[in-house]
Amino acid sequence: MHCSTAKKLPMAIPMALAMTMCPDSYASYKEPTFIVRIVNHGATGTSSLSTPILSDLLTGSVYKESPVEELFGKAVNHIKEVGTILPSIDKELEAFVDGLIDQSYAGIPATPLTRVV
Amino acid sequence: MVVDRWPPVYDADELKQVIRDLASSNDISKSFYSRRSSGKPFQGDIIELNTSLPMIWSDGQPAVHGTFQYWLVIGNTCDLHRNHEDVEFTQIVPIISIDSVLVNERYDQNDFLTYAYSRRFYLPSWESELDSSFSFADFLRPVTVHKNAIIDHASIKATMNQHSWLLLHSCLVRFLARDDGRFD
Repeated sequence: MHCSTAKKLPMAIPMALAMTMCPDSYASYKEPTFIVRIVNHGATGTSSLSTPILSDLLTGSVYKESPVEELFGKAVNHIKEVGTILPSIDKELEAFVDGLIDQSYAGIPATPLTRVV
Repeated sequence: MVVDRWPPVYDADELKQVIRDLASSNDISKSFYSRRSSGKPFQGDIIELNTSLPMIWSDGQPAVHGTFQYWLVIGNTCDLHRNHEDVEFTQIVPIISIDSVLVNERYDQNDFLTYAYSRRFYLPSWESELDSSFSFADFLRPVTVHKNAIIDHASIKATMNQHSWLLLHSCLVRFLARDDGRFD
């Protein structure tokens, strides 16, 4: 497995955030970020990676496990990490907000679309 | 104006603190948005675009369901800034304003600032005339939009600052990737 990097690394953007953050756009108006290209048996891909994975790659560590399996395992951990950033769902408040919004749609008829683009 | 690059957020603890600071701000609308009316759109922008909401209705056919004035851009900024030949479309969600009379009996703004709900995203007022209402972006009704529709026909009303954008980002992740309970 080979990797190449570009620019400065943000230290530890949680993986779940990084997953929805396109590296290029993030770099365009924030700190320069990074692009990691993994080449493995002919398959290539570009992805945002969390720092632990990245440092492993940069220091030349060789995975014992399948790289894909490793990446998924760490991604799940980081999604759990994001889960701790926001408060737990308040089911009563969620139901209240959903009810408010649903009321605003009530009575609005759906009009079939006939225009062909 | 979005001029300076945002500083990096180093870890989850810092991100938590950023979001807590935002939620406890005395003047949430001032700290939530930057004023910007021109330039390319960014993820998290509030745009004005009077148009109907298209969706596939219960009969399996395309339909429109209501007309909205304001929308939240949820499409990735990278895609928004790419050439149309590379990426032609992006995603927006409608913003629904609720009369404060319907809310104030049980909850107030501070309750919504907890973001302890997942399918809608509370947006503090971005214009003074909307102060009496509560606005929510509806994650359940995303719409695919041609980027030219935003560039040529929409006006940018507000841009999120770094903290509120991080909050939006976290909420989008939670909306799409939260535990579904199947293994409880």
